Amino acid sequence: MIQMNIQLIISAIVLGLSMSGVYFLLTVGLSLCYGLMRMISLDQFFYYALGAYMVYTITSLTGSFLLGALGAMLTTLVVAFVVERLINKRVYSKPVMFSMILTFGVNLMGVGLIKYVWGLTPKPVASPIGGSLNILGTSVPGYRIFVILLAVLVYLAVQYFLNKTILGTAIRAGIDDAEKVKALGINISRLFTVTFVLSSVLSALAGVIHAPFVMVSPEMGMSITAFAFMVVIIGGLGSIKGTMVSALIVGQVVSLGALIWAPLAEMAPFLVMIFILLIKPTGLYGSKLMNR
Amino acid sequence: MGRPNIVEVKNLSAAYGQSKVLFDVSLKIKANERVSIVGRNGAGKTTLLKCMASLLAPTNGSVVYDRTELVGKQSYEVARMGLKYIDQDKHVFLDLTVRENLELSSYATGDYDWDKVFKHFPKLKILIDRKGAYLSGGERQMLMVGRAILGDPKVLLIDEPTEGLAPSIVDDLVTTFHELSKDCAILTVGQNLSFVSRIAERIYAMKEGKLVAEITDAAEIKNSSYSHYL
Amino acid sequence: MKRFINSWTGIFIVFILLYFLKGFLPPAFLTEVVIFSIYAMGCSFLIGRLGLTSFGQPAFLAFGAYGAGVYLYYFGTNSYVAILVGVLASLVINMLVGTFLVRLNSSYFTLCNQAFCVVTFFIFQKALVKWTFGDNGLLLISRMDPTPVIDLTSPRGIYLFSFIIAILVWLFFNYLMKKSVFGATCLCVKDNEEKLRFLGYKTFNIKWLAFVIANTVAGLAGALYTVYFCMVNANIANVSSASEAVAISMLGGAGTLFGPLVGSFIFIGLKDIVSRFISHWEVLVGFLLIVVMLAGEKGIVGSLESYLAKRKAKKSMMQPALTKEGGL
Repeated sequence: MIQMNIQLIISAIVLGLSMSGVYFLLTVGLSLCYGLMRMISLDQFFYYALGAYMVYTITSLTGSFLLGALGAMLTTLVVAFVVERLINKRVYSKPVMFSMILTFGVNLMGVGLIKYVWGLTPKPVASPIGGSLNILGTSVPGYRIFVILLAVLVYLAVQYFLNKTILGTAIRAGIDDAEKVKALGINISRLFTVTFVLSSVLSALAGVIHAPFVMVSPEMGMSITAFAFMVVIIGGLGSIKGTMVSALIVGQVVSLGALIWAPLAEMAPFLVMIFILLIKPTGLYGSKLMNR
Repeated sequence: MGRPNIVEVKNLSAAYGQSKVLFDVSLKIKANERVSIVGRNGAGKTTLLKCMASLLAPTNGSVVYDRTELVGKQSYEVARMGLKYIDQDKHVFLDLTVRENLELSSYATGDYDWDKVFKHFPKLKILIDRKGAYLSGGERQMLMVGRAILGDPKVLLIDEPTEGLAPSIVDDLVTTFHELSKDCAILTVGQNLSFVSRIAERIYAMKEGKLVAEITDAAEIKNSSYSHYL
Repeated sequence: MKRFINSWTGIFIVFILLYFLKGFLPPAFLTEVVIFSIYAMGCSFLIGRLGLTSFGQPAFLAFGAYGAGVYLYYFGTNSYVAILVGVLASLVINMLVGTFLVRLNSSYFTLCNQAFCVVTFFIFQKALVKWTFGDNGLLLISRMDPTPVIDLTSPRGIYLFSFIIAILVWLFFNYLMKKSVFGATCLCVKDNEEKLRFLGYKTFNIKWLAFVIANTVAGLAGALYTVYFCMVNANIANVSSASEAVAISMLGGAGTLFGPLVGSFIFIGLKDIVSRFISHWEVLVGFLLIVVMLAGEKGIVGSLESYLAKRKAKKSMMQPALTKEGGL
């Protein structure tokens, strides 16, 4: 009996970690966009769903998940680029509210188009990595471990990009003060495009790796919205490290909460969020800068 | 003096929404000249500089720099062409080290010759790995000017360079500006008359959005006889 | 004031005429428009006057709806009382939720609000499924008695009643926006909260009160919905319909008095027409949102108002010039 419980807890922890990976990939884009462009890009959830659908289509056509993942990211790159150039760049200079409503519109339109192209029935995506690992006598699906490793890799890559490359330095400078970056002679609107497309591709990647966990459905973006927001809020908008930490927290709270009482899976992170906001209204790592 | 005009501002007007701030401002800056604009708070000095650097769009008028019209250009293009604006708030990127601040400027202008920065501001070499947040006001001003001279600008627009700085640092700035003006023209804006007297070759007085006087006489500049325009 | 009365009587006469001209438009459509405009009024006020974008509006609609629904299902049969219970329930919940949400800055407010909406949906759908019956909902048809004066169980009765309520709400918001100091301070909060604080106002109280008013109005709309449809299910709190209130507000013009009515009329009309041809009208809502935001975010009524104001200003500028010329 006790053996059983330990196994349950270990598999819940691993599941929670892999969920954290998905949440992190999805929210890092939200955070980056808010940090640099002062916009809340709600259309990230569309790219997330688009990524999942593309990986479903390409995988079922070619049989290769890797090809599907690459295709999904490429498609999103193009779509996000077009959306940014045509629509989003027009509201950067306006208050956050405008970008929220506008990108929500983009999101709705995108989801509607997905419904047209792929229909309403949920689609399954087979897990690309079979087999399982044995951790302390508990068998854990290999794919979950892969997701965790991938998320760690992406976190390191993003950190490297931001801290060690010149574009990343420019993005960090822009988070501080976009006007001064312009005055230095850097084309900030290109920087915005790069950041937005990067964020969207990461969101698509989140959709890709989440697809084998869940059925791919048009509403998948909507159903993960609340968790993504909770992650962003708990971590503090605009902070990559905060996003990572709070993704870890929310992942564990969701999966361990579900172990205790199923409805807790969705209520518990909300309670955690309220608790943290009562102590620190800007989230764990959010700074005063974010009041601007 | 036969020096050519490097910047020529003609009939520049600007407004924030409905309220007009600049009225038909015209001025000229010659190459390697040190010009100052003095005026009270709210006279429109900062607005004028921002319009010249294309950070603000003027309602009409023209800014010609090096035979190129600047109005309508993006501010980053203007900066790359060699007309740099240095803000008054002494705001360096807090999260970036001195090195990264300079790297950014080099990236924008393609000029990686940092020796000229260290020649004017040797202290920056010592502080190279310190983050912007931990620099003093004077060091920040050095960094702001230092990163601006990368890319060999021909004009520096410096907004209130002495604000909030200790007198000894201001003295250093005076010598630095004199040296810098061997390579580029400098337009400063401010209310610190003793500083202006020491660096300016020519002074414009600004009042309520208009240029009201031009002082070219060296003696007048020296004894601050234009102080009634403030 | 005179112009105000004129425009009001105009609208009033149109709706009353429509009430008696039965065959003109389906009353179902009009009832929905009226109730929706009440619902959107709160959202429009929050966006236009307070600068708070509320994507969690369905949650507040649901509190009113479930307040009325639970009363009718478990306690009584009178629809008037049910609506009152719904409003009171949403008032109490808004007062509690407001103390928490309003402390946040506007970005966090929006995100938290939407998260709150999801959790509310979930509570009604799953956590309280024993009492709310989740997606099946509370069916109330057999439990509602005909009411005196205006029979709320008849389609025409509910239309007239919600129309009267809508007029009262509009009058209330008209007072709030145009006559009261409170409305002015709300605009200041949107513009520059810090400065208002320097003036000696406790901005928390202003935002809290505005939040409670706006969302209680949403609750009122929810209670009307329950009585109108004779049922309530968890879908009313579904976050995917969160865009509707915002879309209507932006379409009509956020913060304007007639915006919600015009917006509801166009939105629900379009939805009715479009859903006959294509099944997924989200595309349309999204498209409308994008167009409105890119076209200057003033909305239909907002653009009209500023156009009229401009013309008026031009006229008044022309007037003295003309007389001057005449004098010469």
